[in-house]
Amino acid sequence: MSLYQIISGPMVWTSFLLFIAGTIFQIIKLYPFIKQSTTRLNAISYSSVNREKTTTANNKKIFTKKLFRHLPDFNSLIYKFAMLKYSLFGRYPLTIFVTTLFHLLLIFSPFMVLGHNILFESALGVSFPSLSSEFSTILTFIIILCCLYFLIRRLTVPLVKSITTSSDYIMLAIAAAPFLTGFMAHHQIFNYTVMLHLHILSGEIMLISIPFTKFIHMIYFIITRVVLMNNGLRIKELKI
Amino acid sequence: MTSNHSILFEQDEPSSEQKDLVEISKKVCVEEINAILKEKKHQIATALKVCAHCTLCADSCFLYRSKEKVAEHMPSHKFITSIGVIYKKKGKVTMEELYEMRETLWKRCVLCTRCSCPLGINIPELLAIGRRILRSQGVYHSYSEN
Repeated sequence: MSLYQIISGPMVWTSFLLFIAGTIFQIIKLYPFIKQSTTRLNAISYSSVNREKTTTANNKKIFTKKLFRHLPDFNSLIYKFAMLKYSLFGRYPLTIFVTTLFHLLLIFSPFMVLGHNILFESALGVSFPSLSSEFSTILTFIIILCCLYFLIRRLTVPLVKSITTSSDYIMLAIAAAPFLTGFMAHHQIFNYTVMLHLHILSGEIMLISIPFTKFIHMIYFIITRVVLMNNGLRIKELKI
Repeated sequence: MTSNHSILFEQDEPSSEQKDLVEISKKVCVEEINAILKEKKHQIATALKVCAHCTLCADSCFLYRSKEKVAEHMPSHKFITSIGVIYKKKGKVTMEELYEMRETLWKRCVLCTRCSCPLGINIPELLAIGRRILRSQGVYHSYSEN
């Protein structure tokens, strides 16, 4: 069995299995925390929110109407557009643009490369719509540029520098490696076989590291944003 | 300890710095800290794991925006350098470190709960846990007694 056969055969399945098992394990691990915070929320909402709703809802409405009568309609599109500069996008337009682009491409572009789809077809009998070779090259190049932007930001901006640890650089390297090696293998910049081997290996390392390292924000992001952040917001509402 | 106390009693009014010096010589009760850490383990561990060190929370802190824009006023910096350090060291922190954290937890944060994390970390809750741990060791912000 050659090296290529090992890393493109059993090792791929192992990494997929570890990724799925790790993801399930991490979600189960967080389950008591979710349950604890939602029960606490219920306890609060039954005691005071409902009472507040029934007794002071009308008064509050009249009060806010009187208080903000000189202000524009908060639900209007123009107002929302004007408020954009106070949003996260308005504050850090370039970073938000680069981050959004990077994360979308990081997740979706590997499924749209022709080479990957051929492997999917032969292994599972299912494939996704493929992009042309030139277009996927451009997308890969954009991802590498985004990674460079993050690296420069980490190295130069004092605010980011203050909380940067060595693990942040390792994470960035793990995220960039499959795209960089794939790009180099496709264009045969260095030795093709070496690059291909490195490409497969780095992809497997990235997949395994998702549930066990800081990449976990890929899974926990949904839970923290939907379950826990809403919880926090509702508690905030109570204080008003 | 005794010599410190005798010096203190000889003077009319011990300054806050002298008081701090006496307090620093006290020992930290690791068991007490660990009991709180165990209770709030999920919150702290999840936050530390999820935080991608993106620094996008900085502008949501009014102290960061109104004072000179230094990293110490950034919400993520506050919780990483206080509760993050206590959690990583498993409660084995010195009194000096706790006094440094007191500055962060009381003087650089008013718990207004207005900071927002793009990844959904509840930063004020973490800082409140940090305050609780510090208070359990007798370290807290004392207002001017005069």
